[in-house]
Amino acid sequence: MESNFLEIIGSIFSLSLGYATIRISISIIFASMGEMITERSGVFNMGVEGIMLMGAFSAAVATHFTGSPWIGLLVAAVVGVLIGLIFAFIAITVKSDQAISGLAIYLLGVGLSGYLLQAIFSHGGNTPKVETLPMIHFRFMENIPFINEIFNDQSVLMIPALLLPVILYFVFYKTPWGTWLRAAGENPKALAVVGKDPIKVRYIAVLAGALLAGIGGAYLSISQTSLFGEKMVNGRGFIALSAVIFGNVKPGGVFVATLFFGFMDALQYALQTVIPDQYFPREVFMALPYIITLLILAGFIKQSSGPADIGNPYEKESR
Amino acid sequence: MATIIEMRGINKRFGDVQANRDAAITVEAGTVHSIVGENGAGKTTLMNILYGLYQADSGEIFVNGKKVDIDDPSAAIANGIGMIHQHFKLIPAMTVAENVMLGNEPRKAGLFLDLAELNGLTKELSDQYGLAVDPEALVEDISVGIRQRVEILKALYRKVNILILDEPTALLTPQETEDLFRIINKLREDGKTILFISHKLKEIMKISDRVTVMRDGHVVDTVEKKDTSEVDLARMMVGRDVFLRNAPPTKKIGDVILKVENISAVSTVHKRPVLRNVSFDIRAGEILGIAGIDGNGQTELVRALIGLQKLTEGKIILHDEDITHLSVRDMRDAGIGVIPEDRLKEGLVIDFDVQENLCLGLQRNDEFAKNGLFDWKSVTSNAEKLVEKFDIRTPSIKLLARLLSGGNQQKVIVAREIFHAPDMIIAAQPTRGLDIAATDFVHEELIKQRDLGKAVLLLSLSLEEVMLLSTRIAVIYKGEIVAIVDKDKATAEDLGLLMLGGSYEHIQV
Amino acid sequence: MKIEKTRRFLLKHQAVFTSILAVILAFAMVGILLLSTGRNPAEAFGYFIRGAFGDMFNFANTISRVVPLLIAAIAFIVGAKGSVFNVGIEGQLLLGALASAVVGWGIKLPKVIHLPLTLLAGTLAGGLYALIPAWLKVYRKVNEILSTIMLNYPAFFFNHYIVLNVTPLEGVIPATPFIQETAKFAKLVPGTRLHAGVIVTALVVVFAYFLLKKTALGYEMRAVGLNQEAARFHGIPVEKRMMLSFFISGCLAGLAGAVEMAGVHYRYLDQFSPGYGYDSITVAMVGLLSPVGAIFSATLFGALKTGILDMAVYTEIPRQLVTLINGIVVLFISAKSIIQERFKRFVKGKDPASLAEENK
Repeated sequence: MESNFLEIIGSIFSLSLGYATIRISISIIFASMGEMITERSGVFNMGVEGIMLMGAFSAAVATHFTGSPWIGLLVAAVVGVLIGLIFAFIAITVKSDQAISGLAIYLLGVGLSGYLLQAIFSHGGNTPKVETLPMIHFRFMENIPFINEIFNDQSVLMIPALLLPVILYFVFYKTPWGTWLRAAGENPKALAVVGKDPIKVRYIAVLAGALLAGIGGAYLSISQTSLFGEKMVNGRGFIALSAVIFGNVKPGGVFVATLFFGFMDALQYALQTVIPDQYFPREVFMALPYIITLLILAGFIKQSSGPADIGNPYEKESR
Repeated sequence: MATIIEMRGINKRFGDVQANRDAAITVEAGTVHSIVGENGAGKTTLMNILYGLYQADSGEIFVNGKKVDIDDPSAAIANGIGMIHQHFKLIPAMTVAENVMLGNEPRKAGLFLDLAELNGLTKELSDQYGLAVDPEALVEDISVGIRQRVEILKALYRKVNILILDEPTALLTPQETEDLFRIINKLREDGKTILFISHKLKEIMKISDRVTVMRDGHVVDTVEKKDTSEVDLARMMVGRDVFLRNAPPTKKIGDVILKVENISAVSTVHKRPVLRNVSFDIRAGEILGIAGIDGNGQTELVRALIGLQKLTEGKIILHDEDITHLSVRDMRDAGIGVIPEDRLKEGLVIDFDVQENLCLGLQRNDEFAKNGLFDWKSVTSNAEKLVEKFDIRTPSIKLLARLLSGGNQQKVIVAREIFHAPDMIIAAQPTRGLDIAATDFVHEELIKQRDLGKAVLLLSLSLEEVMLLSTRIAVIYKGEIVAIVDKDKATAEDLGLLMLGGSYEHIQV
Repeated sequence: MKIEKTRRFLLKHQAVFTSILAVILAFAMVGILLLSTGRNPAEAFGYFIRGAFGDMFNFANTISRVVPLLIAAIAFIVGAKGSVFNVGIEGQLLLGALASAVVGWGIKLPKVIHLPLTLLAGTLAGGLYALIPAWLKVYRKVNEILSTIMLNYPAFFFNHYIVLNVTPLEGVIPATPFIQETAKFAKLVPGTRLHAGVIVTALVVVFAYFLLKKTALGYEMRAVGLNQEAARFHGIPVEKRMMLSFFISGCLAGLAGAVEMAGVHYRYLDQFSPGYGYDSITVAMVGLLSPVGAIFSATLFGALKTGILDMAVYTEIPRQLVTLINGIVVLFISAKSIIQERFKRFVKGKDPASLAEENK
């Protein structure tokens, strides 16, 4: 019995789990990094899931018709920005409640992607297989233990995904624009008083976040898998939101939080093959990100609060 | 000495209110020039115009003898004018240095923040002016007094010569106020010009070179500090108007209805005391009017009396019953009606219709709800009765309250509270924003209720109103009741002085 | 003068017209989309109308789809009136369906008790689950839109687990076993989806209307929803009323799931809800958050869902069109304020009198 147990543990916690974690996390990293930028400026975009869906869908479609996944990636980014523009307009300019606007974007993403899928490819619930982005192999890693098993032979998108937290850290804390971004999220009036427009900052942040969310979705359909299926994003957008909260809207924290949730997902798959559901329901792992987020929001898990002005529309005329 | 700022013929109207009426001011370079006045005197408006936050309807501004157009704050800054508001515009989560240089950060290679420069320059500036700050401290970790220094540094970094301070000592401790004065003196030595808005006479007498007194939107006079005194300033602020209209005298005063004993309260936001040992009582058939400048504890006092403000000590006794710890609803049921100071936020549900508003707070009374079931018939008849009795102008009792005029909205509140309050009425700023007709209406009602034997507590920012209606007058300053006098024994000047923190010895009670 | 009267009428009911306008705009957008993908919108809408109302059969099916939508929309409305934005109706509905399916299957009782008990189980399940985000909102200030959406996922996973591992599986589809006959709603029109649950729906609407308009409690809940500060000032226990609004909202959501289960599926099916929870928000908002308006709005959307089936059969337009329409409608509704502004300006035109009144 005991050796069995150890065998099981061993087979689960192998390096392939690390590989799976990275692989699964990439799409969420783009989305959570993007949402982090948005939330830093004081805007809360709940529609990330919808943008990811449209990103995944448009990447697959564009790749299908042009044969090039790179064009697919580009289209996904553009589509993300366009949807982000709609959201930015409603949330920032019209000053509608950000949560409701986000909900609208989510529903729009679900509806539009589902509809167009059927309209363009009348059969089944998914597109035909498409070309995928290349995997990348680093020769220098071949002899490094651990690193090789986990990071080698992943999608080419892994590189920007891993670089994003580092770049964003620098931008947030070591450049003037990062300062203005943070100022817009903490106290936009303070920014206005020195002559910078918080509205412009927020628009840019929302669009950047939407662009990244689009790419995060694209990864799903033209890299992690090779097609788009209805509802394939499957809650990842909301997991990204949770990661941003869990990680305190800071690059390092959000990155670690995202990896944690990715790990949970990978673990859940690994356990599934080894342990029957009776002993350890994998649904627990699937529900974990949401429960943790709620515990954090409720204050049971101490977190320092995020940007002070988040969710408030900026009123130019008020005192 | 050279004139550095001159404003002439400034007029500014906001809707019905003439905030500045032909206001004019001349400021000499290198002086501390204070502007005093009651609430609504127009001092902040005038300075906001100077800083470009508002545009004057007419008038001219001259800086260093040259006429200028100040369309927005950046134009003001370009002219060397800086302003520090009562509510700071800082970012708590960022450091002092980041806040000081926000928007104009020194850069390395055009792309990156030069953190060394950022902190170094800030330290230099702070040393230069004796404004000790730690450039790397987070604003959220430093005290209010030091935050103010950060605001000053912000202005100095942008090379302003004229600094406007709007009620700078409102949130400071006495020690911090001393520090601020030291800084102001240093700035003056360096040739900077300071415009100091305040309503605290003692401070003004201490720090100013010259004082401009404003009242009702225009400038009463500008005097040298050495030529004036607290009493003189108070007199100018309040005016020598004789109140021609006088309320009918009090008929009969009965038993004590409300007794407030030593209540104190602390603000949860600022952790400072907002009420200090307040005691008074009110009898049936009298109006006790509390006068004071906005922000001296009136709001908190009203909230305490209806059960919304937690008290750190003290008791409230109504009809010999201790009601201090009752729920809001029970306190109201005990017999107090309240006309709140913010009619839109507290007095009405603006999206309810007139009849629904006329029973707000009373929805559980037997009259309107039997066993929890709403009796619309009685709600309607109540509404019809009140609309007629109080002459509320509305085409229908089903009209949304949002669509009524301000005066009629207030009538709804007054009608409801007065009609259903058995013993006592608290009226907080009851005529705020109302026209003359509506104001007269409210005044008449309050007098009527007084004569019916109810106890009325009136809180108003208008000394004139308090003096008109009250049987006895109290003054609240910094959360304390500093005096309670009979109406005939009080003069406007004395009361004005007390409202501004003036010394008690001047008063003959 | 006729024009003037029409103007006043339009302005007085601008909320209703804005809502209708939002729906029309959404349909217009959809029409454009159809055109761009090479379909004929007029033909499409023709089939859709026929599919929804063409004959008794279709009409009955339309009403059957209105049932869960309307109950769920009322759930949302009761919450919203009490200042609670319950986007967790989907999750509460799922739990309600599961709880009622278990009670409907696992116990043997006479119908007169069994069916109500089944519904009660579902109602309570939804209500209790809603207490979680309710507590989070009232005592920890957690935005309920976020918390309720978050809680939808665990609810789904929980149900999934129960269906696969706890209740016996009969057959291949993940579902609970069929419920007893005594827990089922009778079919009103044989051969259609229409069942006696319609009566429950009507009762729910009446209940909501009665609660909100005819009780002191409802008055207080509405006051809290419209102006919390004033409510508190006048002695209304704001926290308690919010918790109550949330609880009732959750209960009704659970009931929606239970009714759909007991009337159409007779068991809990893993994927039985095509997003009723999210649709209910759209239905409620288009219905201007009033029980009466919700009836019209739910009928519209119920018709959409039924009509789309016919349309999908006879044309090549995919069923997902409904989800799309849904999304676009919510989009326009969330931008309602701007539509309302334009509408007002359009109706007023350059009439100086009304413009002057506006600027008062």
